[in-house]
Amino acid sequence: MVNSYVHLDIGNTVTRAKAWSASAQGARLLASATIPTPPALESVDLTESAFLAYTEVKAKVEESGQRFDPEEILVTVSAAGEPRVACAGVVKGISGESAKRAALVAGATVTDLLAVDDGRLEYQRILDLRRQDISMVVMAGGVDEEILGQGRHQLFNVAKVVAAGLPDRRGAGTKVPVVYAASLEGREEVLKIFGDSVDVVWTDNVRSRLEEENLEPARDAVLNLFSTGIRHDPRFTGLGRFGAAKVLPTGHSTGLSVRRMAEVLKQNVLVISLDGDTIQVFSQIRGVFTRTVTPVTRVQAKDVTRWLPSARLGERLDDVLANWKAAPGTLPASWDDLALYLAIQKQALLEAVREHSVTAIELRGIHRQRQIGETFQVNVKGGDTLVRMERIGTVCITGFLAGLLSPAALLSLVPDAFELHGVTKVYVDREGVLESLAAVQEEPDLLPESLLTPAGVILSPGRNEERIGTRWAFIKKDSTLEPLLVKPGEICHIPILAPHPVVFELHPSGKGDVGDGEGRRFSAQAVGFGSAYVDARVFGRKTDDRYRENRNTYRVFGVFPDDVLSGWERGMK
Amino acid sequence: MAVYALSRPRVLKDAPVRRLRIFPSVGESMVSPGSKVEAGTILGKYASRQRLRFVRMETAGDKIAATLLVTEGQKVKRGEVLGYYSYMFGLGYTEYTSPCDGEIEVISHATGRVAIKEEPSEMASHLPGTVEHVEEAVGVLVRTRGHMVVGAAGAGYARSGALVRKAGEPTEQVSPQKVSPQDADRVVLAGSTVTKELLEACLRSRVAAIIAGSAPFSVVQWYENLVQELDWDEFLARYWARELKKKDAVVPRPTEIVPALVLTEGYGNMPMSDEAFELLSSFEGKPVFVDGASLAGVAAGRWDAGPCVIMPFAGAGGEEATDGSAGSGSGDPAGRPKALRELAPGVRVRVYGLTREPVEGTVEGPAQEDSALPVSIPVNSVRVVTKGGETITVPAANIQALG
Repeated sequence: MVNSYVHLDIGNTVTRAKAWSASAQGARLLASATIPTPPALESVDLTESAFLAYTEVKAKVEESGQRFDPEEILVTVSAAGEPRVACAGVVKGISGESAKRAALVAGATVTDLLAVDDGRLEYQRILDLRRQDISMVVMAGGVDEEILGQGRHQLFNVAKVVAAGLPDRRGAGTKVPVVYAASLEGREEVLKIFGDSVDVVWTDNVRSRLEEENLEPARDAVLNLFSTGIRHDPRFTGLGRFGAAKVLPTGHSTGLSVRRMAEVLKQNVLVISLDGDTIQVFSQIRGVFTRTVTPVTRVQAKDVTRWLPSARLGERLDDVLANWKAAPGTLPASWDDLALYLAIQKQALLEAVREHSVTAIELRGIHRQRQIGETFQVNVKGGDTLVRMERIGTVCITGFLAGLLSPAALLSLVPDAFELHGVTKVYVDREGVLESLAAVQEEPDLLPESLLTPAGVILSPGRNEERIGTRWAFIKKDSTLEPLLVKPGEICHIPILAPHPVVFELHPSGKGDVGDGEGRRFSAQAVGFGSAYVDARVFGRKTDDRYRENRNTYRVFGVFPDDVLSGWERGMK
Repeated sequence: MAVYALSRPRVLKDAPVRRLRIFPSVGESMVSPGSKVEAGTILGKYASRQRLRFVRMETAGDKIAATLLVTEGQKVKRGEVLGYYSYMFGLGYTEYTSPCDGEIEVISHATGRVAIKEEPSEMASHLPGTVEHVEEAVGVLVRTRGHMVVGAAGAGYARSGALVRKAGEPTEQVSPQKVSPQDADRVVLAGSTVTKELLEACLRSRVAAIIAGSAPFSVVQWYENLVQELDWDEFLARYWARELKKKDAVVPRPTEIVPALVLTEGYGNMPMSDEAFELLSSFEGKPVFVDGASLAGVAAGRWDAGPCVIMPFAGAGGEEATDGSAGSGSGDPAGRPKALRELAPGVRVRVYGLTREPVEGTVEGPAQEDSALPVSIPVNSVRVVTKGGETITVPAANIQALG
């Protein structure tokens, strides 16, 4: 039985409609359409562009003469309608982080994190909260029992700040709700503090015990509030024309697909969504799902300079970066602009991955039993990052820019921004498949080869090994092992002529670890890839001419034509 | 060709406009929703940036050696003598004056410091209209009707004044010599790029605001720091404004020392768009509202606080402007999807970005699927036949339907 679905994504920059058919064989994209989203002003009906995109995609499918009536419509929202959440916790690194993670996995944007140790005075926290345009607050703090025996708990001070600082919800004129995912024992006292001024949604504690983190109830509460709240938002009143469409934040929808992909592959997965003004990073590592959102406005010109292919481009960098921050939807229209644009994206991606590494961690605050091998280690206290690139074999790039920039340009961002380690398969989601699959009820086996564009395989020794020789990387074809070209200090391109499954094998030195432990050989299969790259550059090494190195990297990935690269080399305009 | 995937309207004509007038710090509103306001109406008061100002007097041991003329709790005016110190048998004489209007909070005899709590500053509306909403401690939302030029960047607080055109065309760069003290409290329409020298000339001449096409990022950054840090004493010291040093000279509000700056195109070296320049030029001599949006940062995510120039219609204060009465302006954000839908074959359009001048033409039909920028980025495009008979493929975001 074939089922048909439509996914409408109302994004900050564009609104996309995709028509899907799902059968026992899997999901198939029938057609897609893209319409620019109008600015998210209060007076604008944002569903107007969704309706136009829907009409267009329906017409495209019906061109074949077959009538198309979708059985289900999924609407995902990231254009100003996504839940904007302020999080509150007692200790920033413990309950504060848990509240933030709960909001993020629900697809929300976290605007602020209030905590007793956030370095602000109480009146500053209240003022900061009042000035924000938020749709809800997620509050965590304290375990479920025995918090009241130790005097007045800081949780109540946090509740007082929330009660005093809660702004009116814009548009609807109603109160901003608070998702209470904090101590069970503190509920009565918190309710007294909130009084009638706050609508509270009670959920299970995210940290009912210090050793556990349970994000699902708080996440579901955020999603429920979002689904009910969006229909009252004046900018989304037109959602009614799509019937009883399921409405989700785009971040949550993509997150569902990422989790599904990790389950099917039985591997750790990292997905990057390049959305123009923000970069979302999703990961499912060791069974822990994490999502972070990093605004690109954080990028500084002084950090971007090192990724430029020519010193001359640096003269315009300040102006271009500032303009792009003001209007992130502006696309580069010349090779110079593209070089600046990629350098900015590379730095933004680097910072997004760094932030994700800090958020995707083992739980802080837990009392962990030391192992014998850890007897002499100092840092055994939880809080270690889960993002270690040798654990991650699959990286996928999705989002608005994944459909615009060439796979080569996207691939060129990866080695520097991620500091890869071992064998990493990079896929590009050009059609925005990942955010759509939550619409498909019969979940297909989400194998990346079948739905995503394989961009390339990157082999890298990481930081463990400074120098690698010619017999470090091998490719297995027809059961014969052939060594791959390795140029110390450079990236080499290895074309794979037949898109058949190939196996890459790495032979590290005694101390080198490429995924299976020190000195152990590592092999990985790759299907459908046309290119592999051996990155033998040394991380963190100071180069004599970083511009030349960047030009070489771009030449290897084939991002710019040769005459443009040689023009930069000669300093030509 | 600049291509904007984000179809942000640059000019709104005859549109309802809402503007959040933000208090620079914690403020208290003096108006209520529904009340009519004029440009000079005081919307509220806010605690000044420095809160406490200190004057240090001569001490001897653990008491103040100077003769004090004030007591704790006493109200003082700027320039008022707080005390004096005579030494060397009257040969030396020091007078201590109040740096601001306010109230003597504390006199510390041990350190010789006199703390003055500064009087709250007033915030004028500068925009005639109707108060739609008061956000406690944050600001006041004023509703009006008029034309609006959306700025790509800016610096400074909100100001208003009569518009004076200094550039003959949008590409002209205005020299600092063109600005004189006669331009005080006026809004200067400069052409393409503003320089640091021009901004300093405007500051010295006490201009209310500057509207230009662009400015280098480093210059805007310098100007933004000036907006944040320059107080009246520093201004007098730096710009040596003799006539302003008189005791009876009116001290401007802290937000009205540095002129507001709005850049219509952005950072770098770009001329002002013809559409914005024409619209602004047609308001020469008439009052306009300019906001450089230095305070937009404190209201993150607010759509109604960015840099802009508003030309309110006469009598807008008494007019009820509602969303339902959106004008027929070509750049009305609400009309954008409608305009896109109307890019059907035969529709007359104006194309921006091909040359400096917009080109008029007629839509022939949608472009092929593979239409792309020179750097291979695919974009939604349409085929347009220009008046000259040439058929071109243009990104939809660069097209304005002419109705």
